[in-house]
Amino acid sequence: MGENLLGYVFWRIVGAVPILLGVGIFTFILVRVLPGDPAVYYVSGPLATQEEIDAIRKALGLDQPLYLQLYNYLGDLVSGDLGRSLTTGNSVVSDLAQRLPASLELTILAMLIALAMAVPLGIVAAIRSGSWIDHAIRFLGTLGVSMPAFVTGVLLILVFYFNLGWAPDPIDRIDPFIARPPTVTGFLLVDSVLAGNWEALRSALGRLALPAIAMALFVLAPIMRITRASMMSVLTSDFIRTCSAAGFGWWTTYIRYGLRNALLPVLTTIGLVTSFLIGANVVVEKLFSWPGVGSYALGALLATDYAPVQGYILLMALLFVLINTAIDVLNALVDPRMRGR
Amino acid sequence: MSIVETNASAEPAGFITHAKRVLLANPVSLAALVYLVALLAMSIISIFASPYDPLATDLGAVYQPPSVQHWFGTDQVGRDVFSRVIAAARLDLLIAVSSVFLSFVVGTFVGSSAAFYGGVYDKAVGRVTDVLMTFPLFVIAMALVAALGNSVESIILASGVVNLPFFIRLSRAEVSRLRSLSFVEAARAGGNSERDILIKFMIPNAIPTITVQVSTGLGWAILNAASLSFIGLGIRPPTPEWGIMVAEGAAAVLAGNWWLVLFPGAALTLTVLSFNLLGDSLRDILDVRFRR
Repeated sequence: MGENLLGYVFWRIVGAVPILLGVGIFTFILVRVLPGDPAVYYVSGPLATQEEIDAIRKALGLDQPLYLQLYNYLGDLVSGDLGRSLTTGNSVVSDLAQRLPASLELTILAMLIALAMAVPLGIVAAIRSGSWIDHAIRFLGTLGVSMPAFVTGVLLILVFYFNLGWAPDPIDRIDPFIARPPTVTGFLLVDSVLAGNWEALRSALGRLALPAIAMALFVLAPIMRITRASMMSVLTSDFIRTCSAAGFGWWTTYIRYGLRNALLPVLTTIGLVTSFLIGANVVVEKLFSWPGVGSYALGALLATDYAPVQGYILLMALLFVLINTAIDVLNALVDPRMRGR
Repeated sequence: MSIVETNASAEPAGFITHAKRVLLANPVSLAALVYLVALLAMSIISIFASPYDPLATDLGAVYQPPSVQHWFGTDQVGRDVFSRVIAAARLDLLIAVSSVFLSFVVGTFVGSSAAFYGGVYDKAVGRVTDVLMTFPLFVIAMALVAALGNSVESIILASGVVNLPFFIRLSRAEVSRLRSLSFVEAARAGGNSERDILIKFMIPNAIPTITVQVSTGLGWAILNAASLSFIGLGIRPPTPEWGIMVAEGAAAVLAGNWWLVLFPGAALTLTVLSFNLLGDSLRDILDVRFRR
């Protein structure tokens, strides 16, 4: 059986290769379609002669046939060379690596908040299905998914920063006057705890709260909907009826036996929710001036600096594939029936 | 459940009667429909008569809170926020309708033909759609707008791409259900070519089911277009658009000028919410299995 699972994992990873290849080709085409000749960017001044441009062209391999260019490009990607950012002057890989923890910290916290709110609400809606509580919860879910993260974010700033004065300035990850903990993981919360710097931890949490809530509210609905649907189908099954008939308390019936069997589809939606979060992330990072990969890519895009944009798209595709593969493997671990698919 | 069984022998209700029944049983959806019709009407009327010119600046009246003269207040250069919110509705609805039309046509064609002809083509379409359905499409939309340039057309295209996988999947599922029905055999026996069967029999029969996705798709398209404008891609200021208005108002919120974001933000949210609520009802209205 163990071998069987390993085989499944292997084929699942092999199956992800075409997705990455597809995204690689997409970014390759994209960079060639984007306005501006890459060769011209590398030349120092606007008065560059045609010979200079041609020389750069040759140096960059732009004079080769397209299929060779694609081959070289994919080779560069595999060896981890994503080019250089023209605005920061650093290699895109190091820029992304430096900013990724900020984005991950925000996105993971948003995911946790969303799960902590959506799963209980979904359970309540399923147990009380058809009642006004169910309708109210579902309406709130639809409202959440209809509200763009930037609108939620601005309204949160208005209420919690301007009106109530509870939230700190909606800029950056930590108060500039507080000593930053030494960078170990790049996650400010983790680094603050490691350094025992509680002031930094409180400041970082305060700055994380509003953007994370804005993102969480946007993905509440899909998780809640799946929890409700999956819980409903479990609740009508025979073993729950047996539990009720045997006189078990609601915790044993609904949570211990019910929820455990209902959680698998919820796990599967995390893949979908992740891609929602990646989209919302760009918008929220822009609104809260968050120094993450989303605002980095956006800044580069608006400055017609394309290597970071391309690196960002590839990084997101890689994250997307990793998370979905991990979810499928987890599914296969929990539920042997999934391995057949 | 028992109600369905007792009514099963009754005449199937007509479309209008059925639609009326679903909407009246669901006051929230009715409110959504009323809101959307009112918004559309106002945005059309505003072409001919708007309280103020949505682009006219008035430096003597900047940052004015809502009042009788300016219902939604004025912005940082004294433009009337109400006139801008209504003018923006026209643009956002236009983008939504065009992009959904695009993904409807392309999605129906690709999905139907894949399911109808089957084989490797169908397998490839199915696999790509499955991946795209969960892919962070907003990132792709960003890249597309950057590649195609900042114009209404590229926003329409990018928003269409976001909706495309959902239309492909729906039409593919519907046609693969239809193709095994006996009327297809009859059409084939009647001497129709395979292409005629696809175009004359499969697609027209699949369209009612695919239409279910239209309302939700309109909501998604608006959300997508506004988010793109918010981050500075696509439509440029001073053109009135909800996403841009919220982006411009975001800085003013720090000084407490709430009306600059609340009204465009609320118009955007209410519109997307209405399309989503209506989408749920549309599923009930058009789904034959629920009709009784």
